[in-house]
Amino acid sequence: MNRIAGSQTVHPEKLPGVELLDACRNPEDSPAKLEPVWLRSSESGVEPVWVPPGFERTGEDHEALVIEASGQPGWVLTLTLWNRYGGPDPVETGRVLEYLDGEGDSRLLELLDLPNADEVLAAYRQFPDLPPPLREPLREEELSPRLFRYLQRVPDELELDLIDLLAEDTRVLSVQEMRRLSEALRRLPPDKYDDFRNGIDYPGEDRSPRSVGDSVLERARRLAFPEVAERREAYERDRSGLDLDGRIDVEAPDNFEGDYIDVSLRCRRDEDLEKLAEEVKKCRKLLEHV
Amino acid sequence: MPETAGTRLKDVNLSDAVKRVVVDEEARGHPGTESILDRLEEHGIPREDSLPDRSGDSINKRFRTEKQTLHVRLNRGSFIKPWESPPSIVGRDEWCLTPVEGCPLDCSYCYLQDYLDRPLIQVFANHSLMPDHVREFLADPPEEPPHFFSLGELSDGLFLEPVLESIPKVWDVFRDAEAKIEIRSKSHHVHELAEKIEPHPSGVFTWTLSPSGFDRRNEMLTAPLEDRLSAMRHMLEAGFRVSARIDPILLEDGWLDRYAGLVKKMDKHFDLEDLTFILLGVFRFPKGFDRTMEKRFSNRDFLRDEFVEGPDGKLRYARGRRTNVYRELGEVVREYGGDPNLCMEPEYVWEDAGFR
Repeated sequence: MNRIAGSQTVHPEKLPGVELLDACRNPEDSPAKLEPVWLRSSESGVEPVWVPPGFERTGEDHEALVIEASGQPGWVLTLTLWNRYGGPDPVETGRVLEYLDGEGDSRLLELLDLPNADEVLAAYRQFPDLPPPLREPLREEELSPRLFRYLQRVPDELELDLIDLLAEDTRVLSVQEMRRLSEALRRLPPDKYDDFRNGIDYPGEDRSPRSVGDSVLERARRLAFPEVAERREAYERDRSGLDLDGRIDVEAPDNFEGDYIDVSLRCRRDEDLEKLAEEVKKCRKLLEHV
Repeated sequence: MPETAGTRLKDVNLSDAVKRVVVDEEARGHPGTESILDRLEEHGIPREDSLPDRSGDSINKRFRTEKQTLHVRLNRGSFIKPWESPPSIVGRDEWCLTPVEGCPLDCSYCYLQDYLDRPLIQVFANHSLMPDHVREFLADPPEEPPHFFSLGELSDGLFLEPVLESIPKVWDVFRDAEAKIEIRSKSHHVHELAEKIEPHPSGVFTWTLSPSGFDRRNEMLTAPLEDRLSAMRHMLEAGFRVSARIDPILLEDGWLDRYAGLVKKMDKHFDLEDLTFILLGVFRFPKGFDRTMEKRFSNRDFLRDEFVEGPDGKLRYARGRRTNVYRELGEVVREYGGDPNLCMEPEYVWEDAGFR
């Protein structure tokens, strides 16, 4: 959501309509309680992005909230605010799609197989921003709609970086990797976005899509889960320092949420068991991690 | 006893959260229904003939409409539902009393959003059977005593009480039983309760508390913090056992100052050592629940944090951070004379944080 820049007194008669709302909402469907009017500041003054349906356009001055200027199209802001105030109902959704569907993109919506109006609208909202290298594969069913769907869960601020990355080579991230990446990025605090962006490498002669996907995922998880990453590193450091017999596996609990380590031994003979049991005592140090 | 805080309770307020009542066909004419309707009328809640059809609505619109709707019906099953504590978590099994299923208060972090089939508030007109169900349970219990009952798990335990009047019916069943009853709430609706029931050692009223600001952003329809604290003091002065849950603790910037401020406010209303227990619990949620929150509530920045899956499958802050939270906030509570414990945490966190 854009930042609120302040408020401003407006005279209702001087407020122009909001194109998308006027086209898609029944003005008789007035909410019981009047919601605020939202404006967006622009070079030429302010433009309305949300005026409640049924708003009385005559009468006294009205206090309106002002969103600071941004490059987003007005209809994106209108949809964002619309969702904030309950979202379009099914009839309105149909009207929105009809209103926006100027380029025959219905086929894409079918491909996405999204279950409810909110997500359909979210997809629609983002589709026009997709660069052609992604837009075409998606339309041509070369890019998995599911992968696109995970992309939608990525915070807006990072989405374009990932689209750029995927646009380089759609094999960079598998669907499963994209799922894990989107989970990590959804957890990422905004003050770490730059760190993530600055660490993205792109596929090239010396970087295979596979290795790029691995490093992007690793970086995202390290930034999103710093404590677990730090604990894991410390554990691995101690684990490798023990120089254990290769037939012993020692596993820390997932996310270090637990109070024991799992030790497994691979034995064929009595002597193996005795030798490894003695060796296992070295693992005592790893108990400090749980 | 602190000197500055007052004990005056704000008036009962239902109409901000409840907009209509609809009576199910089989509950029509039931004496319990008539009582509920009479009291709702006194509070200005209008009756409508049918449930709103929200099947095609957006998730927000559907939740908003259904949570504003009381659906009065009959409960054909038991008023007692088991709640099992996961074995990996320090806790106890409980039996939930359910005169109502669904909560009108609609806190942003509430697990009921995903737990219940739908957001509608189901009010059981025949809840006068609830004490009989408890008596039958206690006469032939499925396990050894003591038994722990709670009222306020599937709905707020007090918010609808001015309409239901269910607590006076069930309270005394526990007086001499090998069972305890805990009423849980974020409401201040304790008006007249202290006149209708008498304190006993098997019953406790517990308020869930959050710092001012947090309560307005995430618990918009609950009683403000000051009103909850007044209700706690009101019940303490009437001789009831009262306890507090500081839960869910959210680790936003400046969290310790905010939660220390909460403890200080508690201290202005009552002595913390008078509370039966004080529980601390960090924000936690089942896998996938964050998507529901994100869909319903914009700008939930607190979800952008390091949450990891614990042994019970729920996501919480990573182990080291929440250990520090409990250590630091626990210290604050102790400074004010309270004796804190933890809520829904595994044994190793109790040990890490010095609570064992």
